[in-house]
Amino acid sequence: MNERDRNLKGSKNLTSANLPNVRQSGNVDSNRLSSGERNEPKPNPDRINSYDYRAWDRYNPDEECEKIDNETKPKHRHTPRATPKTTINPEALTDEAAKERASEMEKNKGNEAFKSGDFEESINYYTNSIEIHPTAATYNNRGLAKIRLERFYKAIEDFDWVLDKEPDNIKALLRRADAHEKIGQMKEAHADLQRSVIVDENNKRAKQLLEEFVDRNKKLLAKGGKRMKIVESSSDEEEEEKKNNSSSGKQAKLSSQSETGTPTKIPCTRPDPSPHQPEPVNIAPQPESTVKEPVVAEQQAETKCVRPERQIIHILPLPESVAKIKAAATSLFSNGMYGEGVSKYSECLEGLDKDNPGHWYHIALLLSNRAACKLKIGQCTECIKDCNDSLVYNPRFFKSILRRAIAYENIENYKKAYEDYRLTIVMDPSQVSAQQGISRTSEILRREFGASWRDQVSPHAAFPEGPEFVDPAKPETQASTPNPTLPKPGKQSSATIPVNQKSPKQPASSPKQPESSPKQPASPPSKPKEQPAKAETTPSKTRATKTTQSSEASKPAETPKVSPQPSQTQKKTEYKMPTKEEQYAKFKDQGNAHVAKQQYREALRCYDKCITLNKDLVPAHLNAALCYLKLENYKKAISCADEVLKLEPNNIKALYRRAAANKGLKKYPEAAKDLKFVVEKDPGNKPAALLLDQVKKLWSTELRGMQSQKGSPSPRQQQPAPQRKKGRKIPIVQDSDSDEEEQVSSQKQTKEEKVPVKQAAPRPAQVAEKKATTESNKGTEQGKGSKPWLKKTNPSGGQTQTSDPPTAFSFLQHWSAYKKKKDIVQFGKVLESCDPQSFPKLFASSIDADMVIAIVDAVDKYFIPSQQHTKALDMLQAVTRVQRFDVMTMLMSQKDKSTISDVINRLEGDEKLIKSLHSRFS
Amino acid sequence: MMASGLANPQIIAHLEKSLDYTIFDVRWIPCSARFVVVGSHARGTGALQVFEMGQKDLVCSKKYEKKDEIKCCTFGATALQDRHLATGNFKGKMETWDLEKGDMPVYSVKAHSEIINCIDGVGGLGIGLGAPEIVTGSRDGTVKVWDVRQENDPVAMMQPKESEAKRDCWAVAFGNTYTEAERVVAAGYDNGDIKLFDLRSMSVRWETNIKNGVCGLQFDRKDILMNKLVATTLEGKFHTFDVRVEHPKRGYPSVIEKAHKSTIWGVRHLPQNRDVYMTLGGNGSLCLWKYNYPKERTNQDADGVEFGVAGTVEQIQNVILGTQPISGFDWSPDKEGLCVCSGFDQTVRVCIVTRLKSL
Repeated sequence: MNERDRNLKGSKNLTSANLPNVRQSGNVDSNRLSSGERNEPKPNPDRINSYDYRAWDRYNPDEECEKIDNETKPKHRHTPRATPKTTINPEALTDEAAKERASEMEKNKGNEAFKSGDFEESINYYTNSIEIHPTAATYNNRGLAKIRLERFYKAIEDFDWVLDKEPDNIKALLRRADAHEKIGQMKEAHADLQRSVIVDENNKRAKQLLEEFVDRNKKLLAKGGKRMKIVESSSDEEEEEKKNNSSSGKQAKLSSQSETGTPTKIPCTRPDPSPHQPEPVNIAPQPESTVKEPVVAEQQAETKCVRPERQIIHILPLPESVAKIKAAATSLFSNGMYGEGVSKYSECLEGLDKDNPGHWYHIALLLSNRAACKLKIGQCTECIKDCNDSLVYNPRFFKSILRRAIAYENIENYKKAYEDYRLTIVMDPSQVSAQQGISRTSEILRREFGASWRDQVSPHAAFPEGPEFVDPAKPETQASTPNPTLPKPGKQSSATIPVNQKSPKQPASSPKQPESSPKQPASPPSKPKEQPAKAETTPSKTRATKTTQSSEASKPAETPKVSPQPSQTQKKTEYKMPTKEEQYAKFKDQGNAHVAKQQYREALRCYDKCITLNKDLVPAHLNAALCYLKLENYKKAISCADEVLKLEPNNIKALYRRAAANKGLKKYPEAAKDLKFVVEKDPGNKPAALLLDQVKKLWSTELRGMQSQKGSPSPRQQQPAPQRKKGRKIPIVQDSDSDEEEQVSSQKQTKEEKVPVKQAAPRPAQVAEKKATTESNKGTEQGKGSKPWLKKTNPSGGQTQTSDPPTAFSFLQHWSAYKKKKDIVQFGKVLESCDPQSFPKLFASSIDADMVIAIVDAVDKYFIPSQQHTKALDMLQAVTRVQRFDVMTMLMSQKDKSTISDVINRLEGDEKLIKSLHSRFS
Repeated sequence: MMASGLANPQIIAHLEKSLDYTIFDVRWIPCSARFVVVGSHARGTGALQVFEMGQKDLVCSKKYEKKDEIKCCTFGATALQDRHLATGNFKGKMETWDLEKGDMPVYSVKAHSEIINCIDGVGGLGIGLGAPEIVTGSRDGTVKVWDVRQENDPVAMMQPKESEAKRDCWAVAFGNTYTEAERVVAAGYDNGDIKLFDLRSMSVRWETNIKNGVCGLQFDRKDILMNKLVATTLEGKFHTFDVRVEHPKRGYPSVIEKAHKSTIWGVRHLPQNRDVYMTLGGNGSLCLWKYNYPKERTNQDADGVEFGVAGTVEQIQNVILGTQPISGFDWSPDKEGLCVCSGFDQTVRVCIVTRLKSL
C-alpha cells in the first residue's frame, strides 16, 4: 500500500480534461413540502422547468409519448429495474492500473448486487467491468448470474470465453456443465464435468457433481450412444440433427473448448417449427391447450440426444359423439363450470373403448382434463386419482403429472408435489408453473427437514417411459387449421380427423425399461397378438394399426410428412397392456396416494401388489415399511426395511425406518446402531439425529428403571410372564403394546390370506420366515428373562446357574440373597462365575468384613471341596487389591483373621502367593 | 457459545493515540496507510493532522494549525492523483487542501454564513460518474453543492424560502451517481426531516420526517442506482431505508432499529460490502450491522403499483471504546476491516474488524 501511496505522490494529475462539465447553477426550495404545504397536491417532480435548457435538451418527445402510452399509471414515478449501462469510457482510462481498478470496482458492485439477488443489475455491472478490463472471474460471475436468470445459452457463451482463455478453469467448467444440463445438453454437461475432474483431481465438489450427474442421467447417457446406430430409421431432419449431436458430442469429448454451447448450435437444438413440422395448432377451446406441448417436448427430446426405439401407437380419431361431448365439456371448463365439466368428461370417457390402445391418448387427455376440473373444485384426492389413471394410459402426459403435483401441494403432501413438479420439469423445462412449484415446495421441504431435505424425496426423476402416440391423420395442410380437434360433421375420413399430431414425449430412458432387444420395443411378451386384432376390427384404423410399407407408398398424398417415418414400419408395434413396470408404478402411486390420505392398510395392499410384481425394487418395500410403522406393526416394518437393506445396504430411509421400528419395539441398542450409521452417513439428517437422541434418552431411562426394579423387586416380576421381556420394558406400556402388536399381526395375517394366490406367492414364505424370527426372538427373550439375579431374589425360582459374569449391581443382589439364605454353595458358584480380575470393580466401595469372611467361607466350603485351589487363590489375591481393603482388615476381629489364615493354609498352590496372602490378611 | 461468539466479526482496538484537541472527523487517505484528523484546539483554532500507521504507534507525519476550527472533511471529490482534502469549518468556509503543502488552501470559498456541519463528495477516486462535486450542509439551513472548478458560487443550492424557518442541516450524503446525469443529495435536519434532492431535475424527490434530529446519513453506495439509505437520529434509533422502489403514497420502506441508548452520531458503510455498516454511538460504542434483504424486495398493492419491502437489520457486533461520543469514523477503502475512529475524549483509535468476509 505504501508503494502505491508513493507512486501516487509522484504522479500528477493529467486527466482532468476528461471530467464532465461544471453543473449549471440551480436552486431548489428545500421547504417545498414542509409543514403547512404537506397536504397540498404535489407538483409533478418530473416536470422540467421552462428555464432548464439542459433538461429540455435531454427531453425526447417521442420517447415520452411512448412512455405515457406504456404507463397505465402515469402518476407513478418510473423506477428503473436495473442500472442502465454506465457510460464509462474505457479510452478515458489510459492508465492500465486505473483500468484494472475501475474494472475491479464495477465487478465488486456486481458481486454485491448478485448477493442481494438483483441478478439483472449484477449482469450490467459485470458487463461494465468486462468492457473496461475483461477477466475470467468477471465472465464467470456474469455467467452464473445468467444461469440464475435462466439465460443458459448466454451463460454458456460467457463460460466459453473463459475456457477459451483458460481451458482448465474449474469454475467455468462446472458452471457450464450446469448450464448445459439445464438446457438438456447432457453430453456436453457430462464432458465438462469429466474434464473438471481431470483438471483438478482433488476437487471434491467436481467429483460429487459428476457422480450425481451420472446417477441422474445414467440412462440418458447410455441411450445417447445407442441412438446413433439407428440412423437410417429416422427422417432426414432427424438425421441432420443427429449428426450435429454426435459431432458435438465428439467435440465435447475431444476438446474442452468445444463450440457446443455457442449460438451456432442453438438452431439445431431448438428447432423452429419448420415446414417439416407443422405447427401443431389444435384444441383451441380446450382448457389447457396442448399447443406448445409437442414442440416443446420435441425440443426437449432432441436436446437430450435421446431417441431410442419407440413404441408407437396411432391415435384414433374420437368418435363424433364423444368429440361433441368433449367440446361441450371444454367450453364448460373455460366458462368456469367445473362441476358440470367433470360429469361431461366422465360421459366422454364412457364413450371410449378402454381396451383400444388407439383411444388411450384421448382417455389420458380426458382424464387429465377431468382432473383439472376436480382440481378447480377442490377435490384434490379425486384429482390425484384421475391423474394416476391418466398416467396409466399415457405415462408421458406431463400435464397429468403437473396437475397431480398441484393437487399434492394442495393437500400439503409436499414431497410428492416436489417429485411431480420435478418430473414435469424433466419432461418440459419450460413449464413456469412447475418451476415455481418446485421452488415453493422445496422451500417448504427445506423448512421441514433441514438441509438434507433432498434425502426425503426420491432420487432424481426418470423420464417416464411410454408409447409414442402418432396421429396418422395429420396431413401437412391440417397444420394451419386452427381447430383441428373438432371434427367436422360428416367428415369422418382420417384426413380431416384431427388428432394430436405426435406424442409430446419421447420414449425415454426409464430404468425399468428392458433394453435387451434394441429392435423390439419394450412391451410385455403377453398378449402380443390380441391388441392388433382388436384394433383392426374398427374400419378406420387400418392405417393406425399395421401400416405396411406398400400401403404407405400407395397413399403418399395422405401420408403426413411428420408422422410415419420409414422406421415405423419396422419398429412399430401395438401398445400392449401396461407393462409390469407400469403396473408397479401404478400400484405404487396408488399406495402413495393412500399413504397421503393416511389409509395405511389400503396402501399396504397396493405395495404388496408391487412387491408381488417385482420384489427387487426398493420403493415398495420402503413404503410398506413406512405403513407398518404407522400401523405400529414394528416387526413387519423391520422385515420390510430388512428387505430394502438386502437390496441397498446403505439405504438411509430404510435404516431410519428400521430404527424407528426398533424403537417401537424398545430395542434401543439396535435402533441406536442404525441411527448412528444414518447420522454418520448423512450428518445433516435432522430427524435421524433427533430420533437418536430420543432413543438414547429412552434407553437410559429404561436402564435406570431396570436397576430400580432390581433393587426392590416388584410384584410383577413374580407373575409368570414367559413371553415378555421383563427387564427390558416399562411394564405398563409393554402390555398394551404387545397386545396391539399381536392384534395387528393377526389382522395382517388374515389380510394376507385374502390376497389372491398368485400375488401372495412370495408372501407366505416371508410370513413363515417372520414367524420363525419372532419365535426365536421370544426364545431369546425367555433366555434373557432367566437372569440369575431374578431367580435368586425370587424364592420360588429354580437355582439355575448362569454363565454371565455378574455386574457390580447383580453381585450385590447375590450378596443380599446369600445374607438371607446363607446358602454358601450358591454363593460360591456365583463367585466362581466371576473373573477375579474384575473384583476391584465388583466390590468397589462396598467391601466389608462380612463379605470377605463370606468369600473365605465360600473358599472353604465350595472351592476347596471342588479342588479349585488356583481359582480360590486368584480370588483371594484379587480381594486384597480391592479399594479400602487395608482399612477393612484393620477393622476385622482377631478371630476372623485366624479363620482366614486357616483357610489360606488349606489352599494348595504357589508358596509365595500364599505367604503374601497371609501377610495381607493379617 | 464460545465458538459462535468467535465466529462473528470482532472489533479490536489496534492502535490508540491521545491528542490535545477536540477531534471532529477522521478520514483515511485513499491508497495509503495514513489518515487525516481534523478538529479544534482549545484556543479556537483549527487542527489538521496526518497520521501514519507505524509498527506500534501512530506517527504524526504532518501537522497544521488553521485559523478556524474544522468540523468535517472528505476526499470524495478529489482525483486519486491529487488526494485533496475538502473541509468545512466553523465560520462557514469550505476549503480544499493539498496535504503535502497544506499551508494555503487549494480552493476556498465562503460557503455558508454559519458553521458547516457536514460535507460529502462524489465523482472523485473513481467512485461515481459525473463531475466531482462537494456538498455542504450548514446551520444556516442551506445545502450547497460545489464544484472546485467554479469559484465563489455553488453549482446547486437547496434552501428554504425567505419566509420559512431555517433548519439546522446536520447531515448530507451523495448517492445515485450511476450515470453522469443522475445524482441525488440526501440531507438530514435537526427536526427529523430527511430530504432527497434530485440534482438532475433540481427538485425535491422525496422527503420524510423521522421525528428526531438526523445526525448521520449515508447511502450504502454512492455510485450505484440508489439502493439503501441509513439515517441515524438523536435519540438512539436509526432507520434503514430501501430506496429502490418508491410508492406514490407509502414512499420508501424502512426498518428501524434501536442501538447505543444514546445519540447515534453517524453511520459508515463498509466499502467492501454494502450491506454491512457501523453506527457511532454517543456512549463511546461502535455497533456493526448487517442488512438482510427480504425474499422479495418489491410487492404490488391492490392497484398493481409496486412498493418496496424492507429487509431486516441484524447486529453483528458491538464494542465500547470510551465514555465519550464517537465523532468520526472511517473504513479504510483499501484494506477490508481496517478502520479509524475518533472520540470526544480526544483520542483517535485504529481498529480492526475481523472476519468481515464471512458476512
